[in-house]
Amino acid sequence: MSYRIIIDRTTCSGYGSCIEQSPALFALGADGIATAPSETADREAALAAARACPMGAIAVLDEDGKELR
Amino acid sequence: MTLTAALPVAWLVARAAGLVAFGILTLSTWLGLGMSTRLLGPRYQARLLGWHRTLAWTGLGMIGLHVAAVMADPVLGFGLPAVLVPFAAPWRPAAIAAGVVAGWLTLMLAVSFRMRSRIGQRGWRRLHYASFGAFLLSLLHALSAGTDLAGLGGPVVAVVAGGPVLWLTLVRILTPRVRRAAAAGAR
Repeated sequence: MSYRIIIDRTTCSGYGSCIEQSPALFALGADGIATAPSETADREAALAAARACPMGAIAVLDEDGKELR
Repeated sequence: MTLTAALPVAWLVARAAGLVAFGILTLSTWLGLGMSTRLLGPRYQARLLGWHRTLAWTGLGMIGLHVAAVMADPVLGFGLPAVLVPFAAPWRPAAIAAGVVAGWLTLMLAVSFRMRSRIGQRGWRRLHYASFGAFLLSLLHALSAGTDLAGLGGPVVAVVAGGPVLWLTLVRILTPRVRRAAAAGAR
């Protein structure tokens, strides 16, 4: 099963918490905004990053489009 | 960590002030080394010293703003010990310690301008060797603690800031003092 990662670029403030939490999945772009693949099979890594984000800028959706928490 | 809906003003100020402080203190280091090598000639030494001192204090002010903003940020949750005592920070303690020690060294160097007559020229110059440590530690802090210099930006800033420091240091070491003075006198 794959999960969709959505990063709200207007909300991300470059704290880097997602990278610390899930470095294999997330990175900081040259503009200081987090980047990630649009889809992943690693549910836990994506959710851990979303939970760690202090700005709540990361959403993880399942295949039905339902946001996971 | 807490969910912050509003714009993280303290975090943004902390990052901006930290980068500005690094930029100003890099300029101050360049200027200090430029004076030390006497490559710019004796005519401007007094004026350059004034600029060097002003930059050091301005950089220190920016460090103060950086530290205050870091403490005000609710996400980082840094208390007074974390910003004053090396390795007391709960997050990336080594990276933060580099910044803490660099801050203390910068404070000592800035205060030393006012203590110059008391500690003497030789003592003051010896004390100024700490500026190499302050520069190196602040560069390490910027590269390892901040998120702004992640990726390619870090090495680029390190080369742009550190290149002139390295070059001027080599000039300082390799050029005999007599020849430097002669070159300056010829201007």
